[in-house]
Amino acid sequence: MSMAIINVMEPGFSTAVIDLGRRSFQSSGVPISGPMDGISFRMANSILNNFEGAAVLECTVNGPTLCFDAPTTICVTGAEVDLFLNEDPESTNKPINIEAGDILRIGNCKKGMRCYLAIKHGFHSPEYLGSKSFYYPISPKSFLSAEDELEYSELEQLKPVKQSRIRSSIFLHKESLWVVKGPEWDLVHKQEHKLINTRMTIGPNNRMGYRIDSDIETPNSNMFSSAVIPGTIQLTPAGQLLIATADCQVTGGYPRVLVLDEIGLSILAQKRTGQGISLNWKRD
Amino acid sequence: MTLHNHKLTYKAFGDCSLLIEFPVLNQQKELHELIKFQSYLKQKLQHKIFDIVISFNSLCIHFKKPIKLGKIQIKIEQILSDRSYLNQLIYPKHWEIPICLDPIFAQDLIEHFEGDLSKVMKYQKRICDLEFTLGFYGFQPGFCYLAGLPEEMAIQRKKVPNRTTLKGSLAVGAQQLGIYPQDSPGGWCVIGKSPIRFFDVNKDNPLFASIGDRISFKPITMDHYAKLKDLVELGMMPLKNTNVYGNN
Repeated sequence: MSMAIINVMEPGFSTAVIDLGRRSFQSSGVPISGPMDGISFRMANSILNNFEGAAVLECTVNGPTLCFDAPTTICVTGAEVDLFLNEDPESTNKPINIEAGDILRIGNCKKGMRCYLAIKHGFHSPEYLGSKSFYYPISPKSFLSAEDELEYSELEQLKPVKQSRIRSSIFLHKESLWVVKGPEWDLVHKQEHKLINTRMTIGPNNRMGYRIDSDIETPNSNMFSSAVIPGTIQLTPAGQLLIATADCQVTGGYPRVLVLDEIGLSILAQKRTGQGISLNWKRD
Repeated sequence: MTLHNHKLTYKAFGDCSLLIEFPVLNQQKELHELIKFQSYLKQKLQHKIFDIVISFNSLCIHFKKPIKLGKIQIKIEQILSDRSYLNQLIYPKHWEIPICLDPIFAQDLIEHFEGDLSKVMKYQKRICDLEFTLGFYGFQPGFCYLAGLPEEMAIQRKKVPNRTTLKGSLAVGAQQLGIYPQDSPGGWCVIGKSPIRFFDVNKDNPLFASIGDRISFKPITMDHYAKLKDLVELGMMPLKNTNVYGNN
């Protein structure tokens, strides 16, 4: 297998190399930095029959324009996006064969906010603390920029691609997220009606977390810092909910009232500011 | 007071993490015991876990697969009760960290004391007379939490965090002391600034010191700060450490 190069012609709004992240450096204060939407990440790799943690591009809001210098097979999952191969429309959720010199353009995310571009055998970017995931200052940068180069394996023989595609992610329409009680749930259990089965509006967000306005009264608590995991819903002193996501701090000092599961995190990762969600108890 | 004498609370945290809570440990001896327990658990559970994150009142085990709370609690209680973890060896070092206390690096503290510079200097001097224990890392890569601040020196976190707390800042948040290894937003009260690089991702071990190490601060002038900063830029580590013997 010889090494091939993608030239980044346009980087997109915020595009990053992402794999399953660095999970064994949390005790050094290092965030995990896995995919925001783990379900679409896994789907992209499994459609190409890649290994589970192969590095992909996570594209937020709109995608990059990429020029390939050798044949390979790719796949795009997650948000509904306009996809063009040499300016001809292409479909998501199925393998796409690429020839040397092809230009792939990923446009705006129309439904959802993040799409995942997987490539056969994964991107061969440098590893930092055991992961290729971008996270500054662990990796030298947070996002791709124009004229960056990405390495991948040239495929000598492309298999004919089946025309069938997987049904696009049904969870792009979902608004209900499953939660379980967090370690400090007892502090707010009397305000359950303000938290559970209530429509809430998404505020400012990034890969570290999502802020959500609420009218919950924050009880006095002078907490020492303690562990936080992606999915943790913390209550800030101002009464906002702060949902920890892929690049979240490994410890924090706010009460951890609820915890989202991976499906909930994936649904959330496709939502943008102003959209609605509701939190619902996860049944055993 | 030792860990196995405390009443521990076991909570499932998400599907794959176990949170064990206990009363705040901020004495060096207690922290060393907690660190021994963490390192013993890491050996015992090696293949089943990603990492174990400790804090002054908790220990969180991040498992690779979903756990059953009851089953795992029994296992941890057995490990605790046989007390073998107390035989873990740790080799704490003592680090002397140069710190510049010039008012330009202590705006938060000046604000806290409403411009009373004599109170500011008295507070800074007390910090430099004390010795701290590195309890754990968290918040951001290489951010260390230090224990050993007397209760009366605690300074509450800010309601509205600073937009940027500079890399190298030594800061107080409640009864904890911490050093910012990167520029970042921060709600703690900054009392001085060190020229040292506290987290270097290009090294095999990016951290400068280990949990359990003892830390003290040596005041330096602005000129000395600038000289050390130049050395750090050249990739040097102008930091002294000594081994600490016989105080386990």
